[in-house]
Amino acid sequence: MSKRVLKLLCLTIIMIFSLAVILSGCGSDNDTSSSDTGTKAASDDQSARKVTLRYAYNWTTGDSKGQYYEPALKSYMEKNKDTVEISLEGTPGMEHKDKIKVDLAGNNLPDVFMYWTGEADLKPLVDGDTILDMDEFFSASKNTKKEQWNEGAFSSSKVGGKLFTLPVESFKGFFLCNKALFEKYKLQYPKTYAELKTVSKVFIENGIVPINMASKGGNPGHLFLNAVGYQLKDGWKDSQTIAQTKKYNTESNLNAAKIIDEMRKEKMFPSDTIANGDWGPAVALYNEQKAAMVYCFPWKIGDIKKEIADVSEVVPFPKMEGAELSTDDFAIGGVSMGVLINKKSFADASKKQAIIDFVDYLVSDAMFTELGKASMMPAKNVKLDASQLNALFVKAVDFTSTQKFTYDPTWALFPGSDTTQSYADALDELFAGAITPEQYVEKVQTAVDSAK
Amino acid sequence: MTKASKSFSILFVAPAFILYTVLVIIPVIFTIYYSMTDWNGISKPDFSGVENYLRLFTSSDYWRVVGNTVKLVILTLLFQVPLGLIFAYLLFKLSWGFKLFRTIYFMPVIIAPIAIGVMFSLFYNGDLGPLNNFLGAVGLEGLQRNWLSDSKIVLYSVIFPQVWQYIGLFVVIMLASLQSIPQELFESAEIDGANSFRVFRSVVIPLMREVILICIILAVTGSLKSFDHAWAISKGGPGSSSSYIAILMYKEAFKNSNFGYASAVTMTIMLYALTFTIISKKVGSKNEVQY
Amino acid sequence: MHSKTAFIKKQTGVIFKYIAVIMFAVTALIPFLWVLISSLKENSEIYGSPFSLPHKLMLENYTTAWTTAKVGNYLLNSIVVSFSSVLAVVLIGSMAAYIISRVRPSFKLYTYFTLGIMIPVHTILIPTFIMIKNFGLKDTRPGLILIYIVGNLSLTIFILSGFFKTVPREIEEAAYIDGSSPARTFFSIIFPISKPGIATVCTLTFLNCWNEYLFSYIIISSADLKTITQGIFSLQGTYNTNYGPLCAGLIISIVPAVILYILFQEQVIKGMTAGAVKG
Repeated sequence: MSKRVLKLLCLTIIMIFSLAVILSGCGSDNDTSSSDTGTKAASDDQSARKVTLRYAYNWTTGDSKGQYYEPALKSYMEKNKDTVEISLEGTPGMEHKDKIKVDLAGNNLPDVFMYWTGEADLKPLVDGDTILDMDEFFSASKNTKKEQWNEGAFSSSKVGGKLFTLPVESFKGFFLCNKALFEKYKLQYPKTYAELKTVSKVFIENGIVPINMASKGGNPGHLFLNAVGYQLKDGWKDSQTIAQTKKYNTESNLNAAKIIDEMRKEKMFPSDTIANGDWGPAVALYNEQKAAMVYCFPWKIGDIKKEIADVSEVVPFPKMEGAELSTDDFAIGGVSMGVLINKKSFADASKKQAIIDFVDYLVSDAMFTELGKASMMPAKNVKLDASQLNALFVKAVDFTSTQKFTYDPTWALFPGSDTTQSYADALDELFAGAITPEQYVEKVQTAVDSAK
Repeated sequence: MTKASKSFSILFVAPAFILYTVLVIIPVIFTIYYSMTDWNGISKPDFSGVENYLRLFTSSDYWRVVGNTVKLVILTLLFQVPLGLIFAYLLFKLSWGFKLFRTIYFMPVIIAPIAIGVMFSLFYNGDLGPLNNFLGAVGLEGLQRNWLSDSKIVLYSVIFPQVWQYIGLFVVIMLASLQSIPQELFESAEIDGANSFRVFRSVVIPLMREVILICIILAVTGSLKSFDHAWAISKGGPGSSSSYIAILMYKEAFKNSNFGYASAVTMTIMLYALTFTIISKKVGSKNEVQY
Repeated sequence: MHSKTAFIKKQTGVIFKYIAVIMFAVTALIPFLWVLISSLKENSEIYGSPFSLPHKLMLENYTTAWTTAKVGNYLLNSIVVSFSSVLAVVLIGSMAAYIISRVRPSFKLYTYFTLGIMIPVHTILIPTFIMIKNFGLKDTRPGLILIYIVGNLSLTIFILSGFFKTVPREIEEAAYIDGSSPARTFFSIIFPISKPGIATVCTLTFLNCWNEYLFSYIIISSADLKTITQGIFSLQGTYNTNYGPLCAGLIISIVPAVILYILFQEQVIKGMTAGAVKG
């Protein structure tokens, strides 16, 4: 290739490179909602006070709440179409989290979005100064007030004492037994671990998996682990303070892991804990009468067949030996997701009111009523009309309301989000019997140690 | 006579060149930069030099996934390409139905890896899945396993669909190549009394050297980049027992928010792929066969 | 000449060949058949009796997939995006490949372009996303198309370069002598001859675009721009999976690809390696 062509090519490369660098440099200070092209952003120019808001969430197709949530969103958009244009960004499942992370890295955070609560997930957002302190929202909003929630609901939404999300979805775990199966084998619901072992043996002999529980990506195993572990001495305390103490290798955690390991050896879980793990198959065996018990959560209620739901009884979680806390008094639960506001967007005077109005709607009683139809436990204090609700959901809500305390799972209390990934991996291995309880505790401790 | 002028050449290459440079090369340069920083994706990246690389070279998780990836590459080379070649040859010698079979073999290639992943994760379900049910039904209960929870075999459970899916691709490629070998060569070999196998060994393989090499390069670089299948079936678990390098990178970036570290992992993938391509080109170009 | 033994030997050889070929064909087909059958079953049947034929044809699964998951809409988007990407990448890829393999052969440029084959796409996700966003193309079809173009450019240039090298020089020379400009030569002569090579690249690129998942959900957020892979994924639910509609969705997404393949397979086969064989 001749010198001239080579020179020309080099010049082109340099030009392109500088162009790209300049452009990416320019982009890093913008918040995107105004630089959107190609979307249906209508007349957001001139004097038409119409504002465009971007709202990202994951209760779309694939989530049973989606069938109520999206129409509710659309009806708001329809009613307010003269003043605000809302660009919906629905991404199913955990992909939504990845997408928000890419958005963050690319300076593309939506104006309003749903996100998970818990220190691990929220702290990075807070540290990066990206989300709004909700006290500012409460003072600006006429309709939504802090008092509409129980103080306890805010625990996982706070970082450094300040509140950063408006809790929407709360959950509590509850233990279900298939009455028909128990009656068939003339068994009583197990109140203690010893009884659990006995009934399990009978079920196993008859080809039935005792408990529909597994772990893939840590789910739902981590909740079960806590239901066992928090009963033990210091079980709850160790988790509650872990962000400060940074100590996971405590006696209570080790004992809890040992119990899980023993349960696995006793074949109380299905043998393939990865294939049965994660939420998809979480009630599959129970639904087919191939499992007798399940530790269940509200979002799975819609999946349980009516015939099975009719014969399901909510009972207290079996009590472990030497337990200090009674399972009558607490449930594992908390708030899983809430609404967050982009700090920069709120500071934008043209958008502020639109955001306030929209968020008011997102946490309104009307919205919670819609979500209740999908068996979502509301985080706010809202009375739901039982006649509109799923019968099993009502049983679960009635039972869990008798439990005085709700304790967050350890998952939500870790100091950093890298810890949760390692925690999930270690749980998968523990449930699958790939590592010993001691190794499990060490692995998690190592992850906690390296959390920033 | 209007021979191609320089400006013509530049014009023709320009669109591809510009797009490629802006959307591929420059992002790679950024990745190199990120790989030397500590970045959680939210605040500004924090320069940290070779720290990420040191960390990954001393991380047992990293070497485990490299090992997994190497196993994938080896199994791909042992099965995918050779089986592709063998079945291509078999089809070539078939007197009837060869178009039909060719179509059937290519079908798996068409499906999205995500879809294959979903299919197989259903198949493999230890308690409810068809595979164990089938084994039980034919009396092979001893072979029943927890295909996805048993960390000793999960890697192979995940490798299998991936290797299987693309055999058809190589069958089709090599079949085309076979079809362009002049008939006379086959005929003269047969006249000389060579049987199918001999013909295969002494005529077919030498002539297809270049194609086979291309297939090998495609197969290996594809394996080094591998992500979709393992992610869809087991999310790389339990732990990292069925993860490949690309999965480790994804988890570090999106689950642990260690974008800097993840970028370093990425660079190692590119390094391995580059090394392999260079070596195989050198080895492959040694004896070329002309006819 | 031992004609009788030779004959028997030959026949058994043939039989074995057919057995092997058929067995592999069966393994290639089983997953499809399973997905097809499952798409007509109810969820609990899929788990409960995975191998039996559906006891009642749940065609509702297809309507569920089509409407709830807006599969029809997504199908259209995938078609638009995939076709545009294929068109664009074939055009600019072949132009570039022609230059670097025939007009002004440049090993350096060839290497530069084919480096891309080694780059796993998820690894450049963030910087590429930032680029696309800065050009104002996020959440747009052109944005996604651009990404698909560059994602397939390396492979396209790799394959077409090899192919163009085998076009006989005489044809080109003849065109020049006739006074045809280089551009004319390319479009009217070289391009048509290379149909098989082009067909190969079209197929591979199309499949890559059709089945691509990661970039589509990162770049595209608006519901009406989503592609079919996002549709399938959404059927897979966070907390529950409706396997019936999911399988129906899978079938719906596979069918167009299969049809296209069957239509074009002859060309594809011819083109795949004509270049590579002759070196």
